[in-house]
Amino acid sequence: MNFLGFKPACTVDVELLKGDGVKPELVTLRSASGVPETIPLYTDGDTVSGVVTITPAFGKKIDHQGIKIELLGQIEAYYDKGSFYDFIASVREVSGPGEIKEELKYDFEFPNVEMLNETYSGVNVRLRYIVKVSLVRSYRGSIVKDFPFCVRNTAILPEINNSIKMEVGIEDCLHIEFEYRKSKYHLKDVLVGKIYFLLVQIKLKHMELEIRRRETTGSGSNQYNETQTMAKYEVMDGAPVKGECIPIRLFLGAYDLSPTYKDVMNKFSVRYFLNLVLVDEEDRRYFKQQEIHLFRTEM
Amino acid sequence: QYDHLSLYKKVQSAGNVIPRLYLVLTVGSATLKHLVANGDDPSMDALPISVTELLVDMEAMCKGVQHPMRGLFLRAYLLQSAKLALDADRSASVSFLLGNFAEMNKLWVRMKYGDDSVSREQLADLVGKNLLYLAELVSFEEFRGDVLGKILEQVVSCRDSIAQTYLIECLTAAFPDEFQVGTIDQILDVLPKLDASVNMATVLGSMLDRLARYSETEAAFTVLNELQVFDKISASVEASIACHRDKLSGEAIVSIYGGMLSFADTVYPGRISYADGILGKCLAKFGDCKAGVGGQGQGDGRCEGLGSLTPDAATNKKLVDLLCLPLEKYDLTTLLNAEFFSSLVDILSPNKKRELAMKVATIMPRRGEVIRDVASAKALFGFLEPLHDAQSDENDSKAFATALGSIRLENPAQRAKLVFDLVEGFKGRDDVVRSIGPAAVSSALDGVDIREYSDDTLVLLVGVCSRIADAGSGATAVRLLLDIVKAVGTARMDGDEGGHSSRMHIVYECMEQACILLERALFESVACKTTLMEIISTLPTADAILPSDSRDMLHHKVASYCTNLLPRKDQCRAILALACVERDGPTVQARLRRAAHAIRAIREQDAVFAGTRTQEQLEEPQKLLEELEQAVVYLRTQGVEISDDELQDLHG
Repeated sequence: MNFLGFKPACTVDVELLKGDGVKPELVTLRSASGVPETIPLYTDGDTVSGVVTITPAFGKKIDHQGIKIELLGQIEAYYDKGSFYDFIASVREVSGPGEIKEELKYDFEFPNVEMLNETYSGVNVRLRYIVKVSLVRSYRGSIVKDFPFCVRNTAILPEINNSIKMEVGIEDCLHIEFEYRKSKYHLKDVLVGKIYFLLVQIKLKHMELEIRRRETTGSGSNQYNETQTMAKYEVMDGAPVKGECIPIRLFLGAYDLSPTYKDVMNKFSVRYFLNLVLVDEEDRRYFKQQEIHLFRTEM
Repeated sequence: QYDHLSLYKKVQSAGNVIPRLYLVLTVGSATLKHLVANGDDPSMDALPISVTELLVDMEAMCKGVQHPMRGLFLRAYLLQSAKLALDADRSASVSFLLGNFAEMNKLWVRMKYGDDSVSREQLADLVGKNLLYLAELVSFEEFRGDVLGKILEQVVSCRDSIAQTYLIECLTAAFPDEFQVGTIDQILDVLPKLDASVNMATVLGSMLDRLARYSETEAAFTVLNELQVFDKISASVEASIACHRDKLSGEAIVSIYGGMLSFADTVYPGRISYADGILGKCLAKFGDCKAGVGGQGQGDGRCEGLGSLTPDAATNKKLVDLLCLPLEKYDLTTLLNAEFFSSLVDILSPNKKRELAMKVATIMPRRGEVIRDVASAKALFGFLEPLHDAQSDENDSKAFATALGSIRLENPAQRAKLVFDLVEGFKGRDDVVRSIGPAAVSSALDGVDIREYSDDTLVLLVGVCSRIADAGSGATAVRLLLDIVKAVGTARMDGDEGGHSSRMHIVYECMEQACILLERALFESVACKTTLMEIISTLPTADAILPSDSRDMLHHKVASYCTNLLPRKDQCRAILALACVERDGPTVQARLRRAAHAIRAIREQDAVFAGTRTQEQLEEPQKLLEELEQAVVYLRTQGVEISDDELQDLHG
C-alpha cells in the first residue's frame, strides 16, 4: 500500500473471535514466506466474528468512502503468474463514507461459515483464509489489511484399512517382502511394519524409509508435480542375510504432515507416499514407493 | 511424575538407527528399573506396560542393526540394560536370553566375512555373557528340558569352529557341574556334529577337566559311575573321530586320547584297564587294527583303524607325552604286562623310542621299582633296546646299566641266566659289553644271598666276566671276579659250613682268571698296579676257602707278579702288601726280605744316578723303610712272630 514510503495514515487491527465471543485457539504455522506465524484456528461451520479497531495516526484525520470487511478463502497458484481463485467471498459493510478523527471500533460477524478446505501452504500453491478490512478512498488508494486465520477439519479414519504387503525384487539380486500394517493413518499415528529378506546377493549398507509429499497443481498439459521428502528414517544399519526380518516403527507425529488432499476445488492435490530405500556398498539405491492416506482425526 | 513411556516414544524419532537404539535401550533400562522397583506399589501410577513386554520390545528393535560388530555391541548393551529386570519374570527372561544369545552368536560368526580389524576372539565374552546370566536363572529341569537343547542347536548350526570351541567351553564353565553330568548325553551327542576344524582335544579337555574336578567328591564319583559317564564320553569320542577322520591330524587324535587318559586317571586312579583301553583305542587309529577286539569291555569289537596313518614328528611328540602319563602313575611291571602299552610304543619313531626308553630307565631307579619276574624283565629289555642300538651313546648305555639294577628276579638262577643271555646277545659289540656288562654282573650279585646260586650259575657269571675282558675291560673284569669271590666269602662267613667244597673250584677259577687277565691283558698298563693290589686284598677271602696247596700256588704266583709285572718303584709296596696277608712265618720272612732287598736296590740305583734324582725320589727309600716297619708292627699284631734280630737284618 505505502509504496512511496509514506507513513501509514492509521493502524487497522482486528481481534478475531468465534461465535459467542469465544476466543479461538492459536496455532503456529510456517507461512508461504517461510516465517512462522501464529494465527487463530477455526473449523468448518464455525462463526467467524470479531472487532476491527481503526486508530488514526496522531493528529491525522482520515476521510473514506466506506469501510468493508471481507471473509475470503483463496487458492493462489504461484506458477500461473500468481493467479488467485476465491472460493469463498463474503462481505460486510460496516460503515458508509465518513471521516475518522479518533479510534473507532466496529463489530462484524460471519456466522456458520462453510470452510471445507484446510489451510495449506505448498511449493506451487497455497490455500488460505483471510479477513480483509478495506477503507475505501477514491484518491491516494484504499487502506487494505489482511488478517489470515487457519482452518483445519477432522475426519474419522475409515474402518476398512488394509495392510500393504508386497514382494518385490530384482532377479538373482535382492528379494524382499515388505509389510505396512495399515494403508490409512492419522497424523499422530504409528507406522508399524516389517521387511523380510528373501534373497540377498548384494552387500547392503543400510535401509531407510522416506515419507514423500507430492503436490499436484494444474490440469491436463499444465499439470505440475512437486515432490518433497518430509521425513527420512533409517530402519536398518548393515548387511542382512537371507531370512532376517527387520521391524519398522515410525511415529508420524514427529513430522510436519498434512492430511491427504484430493482435488481441492479441482485446483490441486496433496498426496503422501512411503518410499523404502535400500542402499548398497557402492551407493546404488533400490527403492519401492507406496501411497498412504493421511487423515486428521484430532485438532 | 516422570513419564518414562513418553520419553521412550520420543527417542524413537531419532532419524538414525544406531543412536536411536542406544537411546531406546537407555530409556528402556531406566523404565525397567522403575517397573521393577515399583511393581508392587499400588500408589504409583502403573505404566501400561509390563517388564516382559518392554524386554521383548527392546530386543525386537535391536534387529535393525545388522552390521555384525555394531550389532554385537548394541546387544551387549541390551543385555546390560536388561540385567536388573531378569529376575522379574523368569520364564520370559530365559526366552529373552536365549533369543539374544542366538542373535549375538549369529552376528559374531558373521564378523568373519567382514574386514573388521578387531580379532573376533576378543569379543567372545560378549556372547558368552548371555549364557552366564542364563546359568543364574534356570533350574536343572529347565536346563535339561529345553534350554540346553536350544543352546546346542545354535552351537551346531552356526558351523564356525571358533564359536563352537568357545561356546562348549563357556557352557562347561558357566553352568554348575551337576547340570553337566546330568546332561552329559546331550553334550556328547553334539561333539561329532561339530565342524571338522574344531580342536576336539581342547573342547574335550575343558569338559573332562571339569568333570574330573567334580568327581573328586565321593558322592559325585558315584554319580559319574552310575551314569556311565566314562563309557559315554568314550563312545562320543570314537564317533567324533570317525566322523572327521579325513580332517583330523595324528597329533590331534593323540591329544584327544591324552585328555581321556588324564580323565580316566582322575576318576579311576590305579585302574590300568581303563588307561590301557584308551591306549588301545589310540593304537587302533594308526595302522594295524589290533585294538578294540576283545578289549576289556572298553569299547565295541569294531576295528576303528584309519588305514596306514603313520605318525609324523608332531604326532610322535604327542604320543610320547601320552605314554608318559601312565608311566608316571603305574609301575613298569604293570605297564609291561598291559595289553596295549608296548604295542603303542612300537609305532614310535626310533628317536622317540629312545627318548621313552631313557625316561623309563631313569624313572625306575628313582622310584625304587623292582622287576621280579622273567617275562617282565625280558619285556623291559625289549623296551630299553634303543639304549644299546647302533645310534646309542654313552649316556644311553649308562642309563641302561642303571636300569639293570632294578631287576631282582626271585630265582637267582634265572637272574644269572638272564644276565648271561643279555651279554651273550651283545657278542661282537665290545663297546656295549664294556658299558653294560659290569652293571649286569653287579645286578646279579647285589642283594642276592650267594648261597642260593648253584655252581653252574656262578660259572655263568664267571663266563660273563670273561666276555667283558674279551671286550677290552680287563681291569673291570678282574674286579668283578674278585667281587664274586668276596660274595662267596661273605656267605661263608655267616657260619654255614655245609656242602661248599665245590665253592673252592669257583673261587680258584675266579682267582686264576684274575691272574691270567693281569698277566696277559694288563701287563704294562696303567691299571696293572691297582688291579694287583686288589687281587692281593682279596687273597684273605680266597684263602679262607681254598685248600692249602691251591693257596700256596696262588700266593706264589702273585708274589712273582709283584716283581715281574711292576716297575721297580711299585714292587716294594706290592710285596709289603702281600706280606701282610701271609700268615705263615717263613713265608712272611721271605716276603719281608724281598721287600728289603727291593729297597736296597733302589738305594743303589739312586747312588749311581744321584745327580738326576729329585728330592722326593731320594726320600723314597726312607719312606719305604718306614712302611716296612709298619708292616712288621701289623704282622706282629696278627700273631706272626718276627724277632727283633730279623728286623735288624732287614734294616741292614
